[in-house]
Amino acid sequence: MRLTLILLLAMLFSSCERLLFQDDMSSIDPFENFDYLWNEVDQKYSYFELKNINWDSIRVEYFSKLYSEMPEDSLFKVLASMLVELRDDHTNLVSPFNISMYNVEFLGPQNFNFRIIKEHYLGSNIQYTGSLVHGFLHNNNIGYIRYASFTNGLSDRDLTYVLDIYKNTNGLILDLRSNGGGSIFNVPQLLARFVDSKQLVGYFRTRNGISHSDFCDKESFYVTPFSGMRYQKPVMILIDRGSYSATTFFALATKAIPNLILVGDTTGGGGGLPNGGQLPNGWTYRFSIGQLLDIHENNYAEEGVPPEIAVNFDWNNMAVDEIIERAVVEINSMTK
Amino acid sequence: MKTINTNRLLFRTVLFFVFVCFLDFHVFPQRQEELKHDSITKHEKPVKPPKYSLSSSGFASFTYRDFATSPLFYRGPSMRFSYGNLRIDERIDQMWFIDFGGGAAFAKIPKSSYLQSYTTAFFLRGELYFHLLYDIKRLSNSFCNVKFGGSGAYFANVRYNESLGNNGIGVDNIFNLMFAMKASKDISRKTEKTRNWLFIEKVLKPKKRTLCFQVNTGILNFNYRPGYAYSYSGELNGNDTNPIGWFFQDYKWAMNGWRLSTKLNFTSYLSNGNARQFAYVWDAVGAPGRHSGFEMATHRLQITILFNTK
Repeated sequence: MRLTLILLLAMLFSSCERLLFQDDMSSIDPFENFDYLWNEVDQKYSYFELKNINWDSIRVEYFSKLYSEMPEDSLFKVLASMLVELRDDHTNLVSPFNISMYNVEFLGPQNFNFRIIKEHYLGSNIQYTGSLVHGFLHNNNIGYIRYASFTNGLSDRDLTYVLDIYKNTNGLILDLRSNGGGSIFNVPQLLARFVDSKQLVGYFRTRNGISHSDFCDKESFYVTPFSGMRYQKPVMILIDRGSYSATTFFALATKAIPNLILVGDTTGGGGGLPNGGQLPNGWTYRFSIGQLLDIHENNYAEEGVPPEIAVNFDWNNMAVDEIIERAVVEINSMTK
Repeated sequence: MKTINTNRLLFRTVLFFVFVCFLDFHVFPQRQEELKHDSITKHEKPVKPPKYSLSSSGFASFTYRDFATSPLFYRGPSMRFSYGNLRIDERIDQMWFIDFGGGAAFAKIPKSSYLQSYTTAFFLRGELYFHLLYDIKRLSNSFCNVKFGGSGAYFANVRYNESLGNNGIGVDNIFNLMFAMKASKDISRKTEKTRNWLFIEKVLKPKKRTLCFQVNTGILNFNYRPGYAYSYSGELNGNDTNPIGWFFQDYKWAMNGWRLSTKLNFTSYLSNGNARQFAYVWDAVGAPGRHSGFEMATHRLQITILFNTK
């Protein structure tokens, strides 16, 4: 009997985590979910001051649109509209039925149509190597390389193979238009092929406190040269408003590398590393928690990195890519 | 309000340990004297306690919540495997083990009247554990043997939750120095017994068996968890960047939190000196960290084979 009692007490004592843990916070209550999201953004979002956003007044505006028992799709619209006020495509609310977006690419004209390039520039000489699509242009004097997304892995083998093909050209065109970003580690890997010494190309800093101006010390962003095949001749980097996040990181870094020249339209931005989180109702979200600065500590990457040579697409002529044409002219003028 | 409750509980736990420490400090010296006296008068070499090699496997139910990324509990099943070493007799209990496991956990999301959300996390866990316990004569009697001592544990919990984007990977490093108490009851079958079960008669031979209950409570609790923003843009040194070092750049040490674990086990010794052990292990951890807290509990059913090595 005594033994049974001990066993029962032992089992009872072994199930008391509910006493130790904080209460279950899961909830579909619109007010609780609104408060949770608003507070998370308030405490961690990194661009309030740069964008001159009054987050308190935004709370007042959108809180007034809440009501008890409001349908979930209505709550989604309120929360999504509140996040759009941040003017940031690294900010999304994700529910099973919808995803909120700012759509920064609509701030500029569309400047990319890959069919024109395949049909009128690369033709049958097009090659697909890993994540890269490439071919010769302009009587084999210029190499064209298309990297569609930094989410696609880059292997040293593929990069070496591709650059070896174009090693005798006068210049390269690296097309990063409509490249929406991806892994930041692919940025230094690609840049390593265009530098011959270790170079500082920018800084990062991350929010680290309650105040909107609280940031940790800046961290350096270096590019180191690849030990094998590199390309040291002029490289035109094609960008547009669809070049976002990691592509903006890449574009900003090129400002510190003389032989890399940006051609096209300003990038979409996305200089802040986005985090991720979940609301009490199970929806997930993300928003920027860091900032990208150039080597002079200028803080413009979130609004987009401007090109050295601004060119836009002419949609009246569907056989010509004006941005490629301008890049070709630039390479030819540099090699004369 | 919840913090106050937790603090109150922690305060009571501390009081309990102060009491236990008091007992321990007063009983140990006497015990040491007894041992010393015995060794001098009898001029006999002390008998070394038997040593076992442990190999365990088990199923666990896992619950955690990482406030930095979600206010929701994640729950799910996991498998655990351990290997270790045990030296045990009535005077001493010394054990270490390494433990590996992994599983999947599902967010406890409230029911939606629209479209239901689902999020899943996967995790791997590794743990190192050590304890050293001595019997307390004043508390031990013919009913049970009571041992007190210390234990240390470190575990790393690697979580992956794709829906959390750049915060999808989290590593919880928890290190605890704990006070440990173990009560053992000898429930050996001393005489041969006959049992009838569905008209089948079975003769049960004498067998050595023990039933033990152990409690570990953290005294010094450390954790190494992500910093303020969880994700961090650390220094990138081109292709020379170490991804692991980059990942941990903003992790912070903190000395706070609690840990409480219990283990109820039944050990049946075999005629060849080996043994089988069936255990129910409950383990709960709280780590407020520097910025956002982490809570975790596991309930584990475990089978262990003890190989007698000496």
